[in-house]
Amino acid sequence: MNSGFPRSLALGYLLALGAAVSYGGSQVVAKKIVEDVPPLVGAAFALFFGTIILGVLVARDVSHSNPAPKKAYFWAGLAGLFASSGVAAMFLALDAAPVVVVAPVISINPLFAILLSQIFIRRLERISWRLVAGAVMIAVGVSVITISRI
Amino acid sequence: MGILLAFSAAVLFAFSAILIRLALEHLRPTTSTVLSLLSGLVLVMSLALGFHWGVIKALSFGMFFWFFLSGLLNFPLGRFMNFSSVQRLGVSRALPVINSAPLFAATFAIIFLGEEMTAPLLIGTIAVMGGIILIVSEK
Repeated sequence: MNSGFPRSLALGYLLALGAAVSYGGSQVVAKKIVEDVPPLVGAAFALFFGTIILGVLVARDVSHSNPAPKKAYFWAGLAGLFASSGVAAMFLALDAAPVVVVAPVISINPLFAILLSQIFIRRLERISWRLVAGAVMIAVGVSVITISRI
Repeated sequence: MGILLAFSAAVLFAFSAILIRLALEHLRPTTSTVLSLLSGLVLVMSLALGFHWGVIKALSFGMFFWFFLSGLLNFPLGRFMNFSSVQRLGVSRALPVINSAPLFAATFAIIFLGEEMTAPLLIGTIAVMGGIILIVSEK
């Protein structure tokens, strides 16, 4: 690895791309699921199996982790509630408006995250024009891809 | 109403990313992922049971294979890598890259479902790749 690009960052980007590939694959599977059942049922059972699989895989790691402040557990639980509420809101939005309207609005969520990070966790996050421009380009590209597949 | 709901979804996803960034200051990605899944499961399963009990009772055995596959891709793989990348890169860098998922969905659909490559798809792909390169090249 190039000494100008720390290994930790490279691994971080690989993990982010890995997450994108996994989510991309899951969207293809979700398309098959929603042909037969309501999206909420598909999401609930996917969450159920996902929780069981991950729980089995990492039970030992979780049980041996160092104690953390209670607020950290609270943030993690609340993050799950927000993410799931986001999914529910997305399904309701898709029920109320066409994908061509909903997809571009949802694809700007990284821009909201950048904005919120500067409000709430500025000490942890550093942003630049290049980062914002990259996030805008991805949001535009994702909107175009999503709309083109309707 | 649809736009307002979509806007709410985008804000909720963004807040979720900020909250997990705070949690990851003290917790491992594994613990954070499990906790976020448990709280989400309670909410979504309650809604599903409440609104679609009739559908759930009539589910065929074959559907559970697809649920399992969806759960595997989305959570032990997707969300765990998502949280691990947020821990290493921060929300601002990780989230835009993770949100390129529709590009990979389109690629899989072309490979496995026989969908065609179109001009808008190509333009969108170039935009996404350009955005990722801009972010990754940022020091």
